Amino acid sequence: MKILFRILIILVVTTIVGGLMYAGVSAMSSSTTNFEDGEGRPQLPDGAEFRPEREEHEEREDHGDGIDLPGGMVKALVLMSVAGGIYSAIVWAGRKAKRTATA
Amino acid sequence: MSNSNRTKLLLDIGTFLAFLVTMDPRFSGLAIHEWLSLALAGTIVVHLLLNWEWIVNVTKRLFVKATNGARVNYVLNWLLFIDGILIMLSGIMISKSAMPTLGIALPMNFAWRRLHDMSANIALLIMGLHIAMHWNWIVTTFKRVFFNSTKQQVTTTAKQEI
Repeated sequence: MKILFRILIILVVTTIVGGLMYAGVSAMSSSTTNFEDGEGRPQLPDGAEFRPEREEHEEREDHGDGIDLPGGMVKALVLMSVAGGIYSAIVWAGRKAKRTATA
Repeated sequence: MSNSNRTKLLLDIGTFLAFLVTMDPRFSGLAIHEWLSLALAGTIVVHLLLNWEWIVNVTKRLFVKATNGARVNYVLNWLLFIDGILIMLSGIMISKSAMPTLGIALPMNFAWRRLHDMSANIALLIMGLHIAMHWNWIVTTFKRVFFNSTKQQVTTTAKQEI
């Protein structure tokens, strides 16, 4: 029962935060794409399917020859290491400064 | 070694590995990327439940007795949680595999795509800080779980053989 209550709290918080984000993005999108037809908004030809940007570029890369390295994973590890390294350096410098001050 | 710490560590390692795989949709494929991300949401709920006491304690004494480290950690965890929600929400909105399979059709929007990329990059930085802040716990618990238990198993096996 206690666990169910906790899960409910997590879901409620998630729904509130997600709802606010959805409302914010919808409001921004509607204000930036409020065009009348033929007033400058890009029109798709009849029968054309909507495709998000970057997709063609990604597909082109997918068809390339060579070894497919998990670049995203390497990027993730590097970025996390950099962030963690910077934090550790700051903590280490703080401790060193404290030791120097007390000595 | 408490079972709780062992469970936490194993769950965290699994979540981290899954997180890495989801960070490379071109490597894993879009379907795995989407379904694994949805499963990750479940593991994050379990992660929060396992650390519930810490969350409640720090929330109660955030403005009174908490150390600066605990406060920074708390704020960082909230940022990671909010960013995680943004990643999930934007991912659901641009889903091409999981949502259509579930019969849910969502309107396309450029903004969600950009938000998804941006929030994923921010999550990497916050996750790096999150791991760095808990590094001592990770190393200590890892040694206890994987090395102490191995020694115990070896000793038990040796005794049985004698």
